[in-house]
Amino acid sequence: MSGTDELIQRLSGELQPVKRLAPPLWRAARLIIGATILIAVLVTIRGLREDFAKMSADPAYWVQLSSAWVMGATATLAALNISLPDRSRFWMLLPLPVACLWATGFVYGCLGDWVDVPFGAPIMHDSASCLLTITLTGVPLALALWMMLRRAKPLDAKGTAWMGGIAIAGFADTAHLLINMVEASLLILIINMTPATIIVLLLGMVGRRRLGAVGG
Amino acid sequence: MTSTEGVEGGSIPPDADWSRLMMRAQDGDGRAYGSLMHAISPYLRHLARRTGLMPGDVEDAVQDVLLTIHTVRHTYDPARPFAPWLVAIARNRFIDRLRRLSRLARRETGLSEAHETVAAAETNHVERDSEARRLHAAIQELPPAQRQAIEMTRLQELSLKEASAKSGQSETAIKVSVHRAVKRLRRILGGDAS
Repeated sequence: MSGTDELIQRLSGELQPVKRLAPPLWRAARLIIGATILIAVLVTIRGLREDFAKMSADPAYWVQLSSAWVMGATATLAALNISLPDRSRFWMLLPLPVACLWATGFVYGCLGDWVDVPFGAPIMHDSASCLLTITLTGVPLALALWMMLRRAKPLDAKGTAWMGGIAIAGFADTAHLLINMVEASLLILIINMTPATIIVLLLGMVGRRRLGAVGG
Repeated sequence: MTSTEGVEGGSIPPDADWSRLMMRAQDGDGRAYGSLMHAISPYLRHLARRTGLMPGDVEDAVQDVLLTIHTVRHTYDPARPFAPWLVAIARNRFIDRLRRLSRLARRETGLSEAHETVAAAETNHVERDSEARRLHAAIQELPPAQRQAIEMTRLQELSLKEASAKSGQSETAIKVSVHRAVKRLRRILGGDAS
């Protein structure tokens, strides 16, 4: 008996029934709904940003807010799809247009208004508040998405982890835009973007080793 | 099983059969799983060869794919065709293996004769020959009495009595000559002269 025959005999002999993974669209919907509920709960507890009435009159704010949420949703769908062996890698392009829109909104605001921040503005206080919002949104969502992706044992662990990171950054920024005052200065942009960048990098670099992937 | 026929030649795999077997395997049917694994193995061998794996690596690569399938079998959706799922896994594992082999080939260099430094004497003949030549040249540099003493006692392995009888010198004189020859050889060959 060859080594392959022995392996087949062993694997079929010890076979256990398995629970099939639900379709990625269904699992993504569950996570997106969960993320939206979490953001709503955080807004209820911590309150909307003080200048929400003023900001809501600005179409650019809505573009930025909705692009952050859509980026989170599309990246979630992309991550859950590419975690499966037979799905196209092109799913990774799905969040790209909206991610560009989201980034453009930030840069546009930054270039237009960055000189408006007065010297000695309470940047550190704002940043601590931003960090709290991003942590309260990002950590539970990252854990939930991590568990979902880990169950798929993705072949492309690296791409899956990067998509997961972008998804969490999108949802975390949605909460951040609703709760925290965002002054469009370059400095505040950098400070506020740092936690999101760390989330993406952590999931991208550490995640690919911890996703229980069978592939490299 | 008829579904494997023609697979070795690379024809289209019998997707519906394999899909049904996998569905039963997901429910814990070991016999269906065994049939499926036996049925897809020739196709995987064919794919492995087409991907560029050497014949010696094909069987290991196929076993690697079977193990991966076992690990991710819950990710197969019976509503979708089986072949793309199988081929995606197989290609991923084969390319991974090719990359690993290529990395190994870049890092490692085959040993030449000059690199043979293992303990077995016959593998070190180049160094041994070189040292023998140096020793022979050093012996030629010794004064005639010392050279004769060392040749008789060390190379011809004669006893002091035999060397004395052969050379006509006293045993003590031969002992002294050997002692001085050894000291001189050490100095010539770069060892400790003391």
